[in-house]
This record gives sequence, structure tokens and C-alpha cells, in this order.
Amino acid sequence: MPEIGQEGQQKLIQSSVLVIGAGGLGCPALSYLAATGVGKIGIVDFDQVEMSNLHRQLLYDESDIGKNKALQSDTKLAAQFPDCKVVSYPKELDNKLAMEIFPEYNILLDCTDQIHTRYLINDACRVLNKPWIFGAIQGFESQFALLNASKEAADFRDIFPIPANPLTAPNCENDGTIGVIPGITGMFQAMECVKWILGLGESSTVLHFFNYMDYQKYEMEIIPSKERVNITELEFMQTDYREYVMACHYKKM
Amino acid sequence: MLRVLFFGELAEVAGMRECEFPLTNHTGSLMADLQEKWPGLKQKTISMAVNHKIVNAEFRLKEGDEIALLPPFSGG
Repeated sequence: MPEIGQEGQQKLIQSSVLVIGAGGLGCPALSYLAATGVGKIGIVDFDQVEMSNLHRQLLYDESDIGKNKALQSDTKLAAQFPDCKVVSYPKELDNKLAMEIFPEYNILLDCTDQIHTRYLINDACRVLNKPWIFGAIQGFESQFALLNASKEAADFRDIFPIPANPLTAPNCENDGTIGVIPGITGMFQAMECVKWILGLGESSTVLHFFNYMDYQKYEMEIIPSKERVNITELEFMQTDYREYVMACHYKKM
Repeated sequence: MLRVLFFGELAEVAGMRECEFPLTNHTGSLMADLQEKWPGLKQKTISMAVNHKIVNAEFRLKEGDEIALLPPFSGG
């Protein structure tokens, strides 16, 4: 492809991507990033494979049930793509781990389904000036965006300054999903990532919406908020993101 | 009139994916009007985009504007 060529392939080999969450979004993103030739891939996931995951998390089979997702996806990718250096972190992402490992990667993919983790990733990337790609699904719809691509670019707080309530927000485990939908969305995240590595991405920050029932697409430009306050590393480290998200909805008695 | 689009669970609350809605001053007053018509919207986290740009609560509206109501998705 003229847009890639030998130079583009070199960029891919020299690139490093951290995928947070090796579930419905993470599995397809991981496979395609490794297959495309990304040189180093990190995988963060504390969760174990469950039977109910197998319809959408295609890196796993029944023999993986009960085993850690980061370790199992590492094993599968290493066997299929031996040229890709895979590093697994079989633990929950917290502030300390973020500050330790984010600097080792060029770009991150948020493939989690937890609201507090999304704000943790957002703020860590703001502190470290790292670009990241958000992706999420609900029903027959998905949304994704490349965020924080430069110091001037918008981030997740410019779209949703107040976190959703985790107790009432829909999720795949309770509401179910058709595996194709996180599959497509994870691949959109991988596509955004490859474009960013190759320098083919958009210059403005755009939130993309897709509806798979009728294939309607809708996009919105995200403008950085004028009221944005800088976050220091100390402030980041002192924030308990679970508590922070709950405190936005329930005042302490 | 304004054109209002509902995404994700907001479409379930409104029972439709889009509608025409009377023009009001700004996005804040529009949200109050929408919440009056569909009280279920009050419990939701919602961001607004006007003509494909995310805006804050005091954005001035004009005839024919297209407003998208966006919930954060959280499944993965």
C-alpha cells in the first residue's frame, strides 16, 4: 500500500501499544495489532476467562476457563505472531501501575468496561502526554475516539466531564451483547491505532458513533474545554478513582 | 424547530431515535424542556453536541440546529 510502504512497516515494528482489557474489545484489537506488525504489545487484565466470555473473546477456548486473560492472550499471540514482543500484566490497573508502565508505550487502547478505570486512564495519559483510544459499546451501538493525541487535543473529560453512575450504567455481562459488535469496535480501535502510528490520523479529535442495526454513522468534533485544569502527577496518585466516580453520584453521609 | 437525536439508552427513554423540538434559547434550557417531557432523562449522564460539535450547557441555539444527546457507553 502506498500509504504504508517500507517506511510504514518500520514505524509499525518500532511501535509499542498497551492494550488495557483483553475482553470483547481487547481480543480483536490484540490479534489485529500483532498481525499488522506492531513490534511490542502490552496486555493488562486482572480478570479470569469465563464461559460467558467465549462468544465474543475469541482468543480463548474452554480450556482457558478460570485462567488469567492477560497470560492466556499473551500465550496465544506469542504462538501465532512470534516476531511480536508481548508483555503481560496479570493485575488490576491502578494509579501506581499506570505511572510505571504507561511511559513504556507509544499509545494505549482502553478496552475495559469499567467507568472508574476510564477516568484513571484519561488522567494518567493527561499527566504523561500519552495518546489513547477509547472504545465502548451498548446494545447495537458503539463509540470510539482517539484522545489526547497532542497537548492541545481533547480528552475524555471534554466529552463527559461527569462520570456515569456505575451502578446504573448498562454492561455486557448483565445486558448481553452480540459478539460481532465489540469485535467491530475493537477493530476500529486497532485501525485508529495503526493510523496514528503511521501518521495518517485526523488532526481534530472526533467521537465516532455507529449503529449496527442500520449502519448509521454519526461523528462529533470534541473541543478542549476552556475550564480544563491541569492534573499533576501528585494529584493523580492521590485520587482513588472508584471513590471519585461514586462520589459524583452519592454524597457521603 | 430543532432536530434532536437520541443515542444509546437515551433512545430507549425517549422511545424514539430522533424528533423535532421547539426552539429554545440555549442547550441548558433545551435540556430542562427535554427532561420535563421525558423525566427518565434526569437520571442519565448526558453530553450534547450541536451540529456535530460537543458543547457546554450555555450554548446558544438557532432555528434548524441539530442536537445530539450522548450517553457514555460502558460495555466492552
